[in-house]
Amino acid sequence: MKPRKLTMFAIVAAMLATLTSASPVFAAAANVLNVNVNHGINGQGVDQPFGHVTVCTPGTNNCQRIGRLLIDTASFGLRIFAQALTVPLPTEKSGPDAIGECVFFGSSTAWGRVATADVKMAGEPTISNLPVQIINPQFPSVGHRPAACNRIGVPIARNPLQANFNGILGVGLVQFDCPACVSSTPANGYYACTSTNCTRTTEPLVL
Amino acid sequence: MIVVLFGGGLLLMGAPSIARATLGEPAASVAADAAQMNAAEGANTARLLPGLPAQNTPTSGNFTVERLTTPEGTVVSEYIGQSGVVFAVTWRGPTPPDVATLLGTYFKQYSDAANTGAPSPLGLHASSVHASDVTVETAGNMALMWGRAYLPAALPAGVNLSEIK
Repeated sequence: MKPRKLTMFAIVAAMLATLTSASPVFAAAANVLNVNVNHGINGQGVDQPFGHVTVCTPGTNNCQRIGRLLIDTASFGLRIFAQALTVPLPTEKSGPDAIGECVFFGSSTAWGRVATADVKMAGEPTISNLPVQIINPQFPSVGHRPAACNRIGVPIARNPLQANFNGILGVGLVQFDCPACVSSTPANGYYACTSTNCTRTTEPLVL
Repeated sequence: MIVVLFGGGLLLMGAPSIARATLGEPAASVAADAAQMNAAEGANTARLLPGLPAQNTPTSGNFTVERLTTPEGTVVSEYIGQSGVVFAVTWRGPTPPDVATLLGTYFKQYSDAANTGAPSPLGLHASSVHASDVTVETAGNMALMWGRAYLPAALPAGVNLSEIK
């Protein structure tokens, strides 16, 4: 009766980079994602590739195009800053609890709820009900980010200007971002959250 | 070597974050770290990830290395100089260790430095933070995390940073 929470992200994208120019020079084609290489939102970053996707409230035409997503070959799945999101995306639940995720990258940590979205990208058919992470250091409420997600020392990704991207489009060659989370609860994994408390939880794979 | 194997969870109840730690502390703090992290002393070689260079084999006689293995299989190496003080810590494995415990009193300094200024010029997956007394380098992706923290002023004479790996 309860919807199983979806956990893992599966994104497949073929990419074609347009070098450094601000606007794409290639016409949209199936299975091709135009990418811009630049210094990011705050202009202080190294050259990195950025792309865009369209996210929609599942089952609706309420959609938003989100650009400046860092194309990252060393992570998996779509992660979007809450501050960059304007369409409502439903939170994944475990019973009454909201699902949160903590992801450690080498230089920062992404924390926030897991939501579902219909995602359109690269001229491909819509991906329905894709689990995505909504990066938000204030989830589930101000001051209640789980301590386990804080004890690494690298900065928490706070907002697009600080992080230098609106989100991360992980295109690494792995289907699931945390296969071990099916049976274990590492700090860089999933959490079940009330409005003031998050505890580690396992998550099933979504195939 | 004393093998410290504590039952899961018990030590974390009642006395949160005692964190008698490591960096800059006497070698005896290694056992405290192991307890704090529910880690076993010694490297669990069966869980080392393949294809990685050998870790923490001293190549000079100026220090010794104590290893811990966290329940997640991450190997932590604590570098201890002849003075008996931990001057560096490294980790490698599927999930980072409790860095706050490992860095002890230096954690806040590191965290404050890491949280100010521009994003890492090394990109999303690596950073190098030079706080006033401690240097912390981290790198990783979702499957493998690596880190190295050391006290530049406490490096024993003759120890090259390349030996801390």
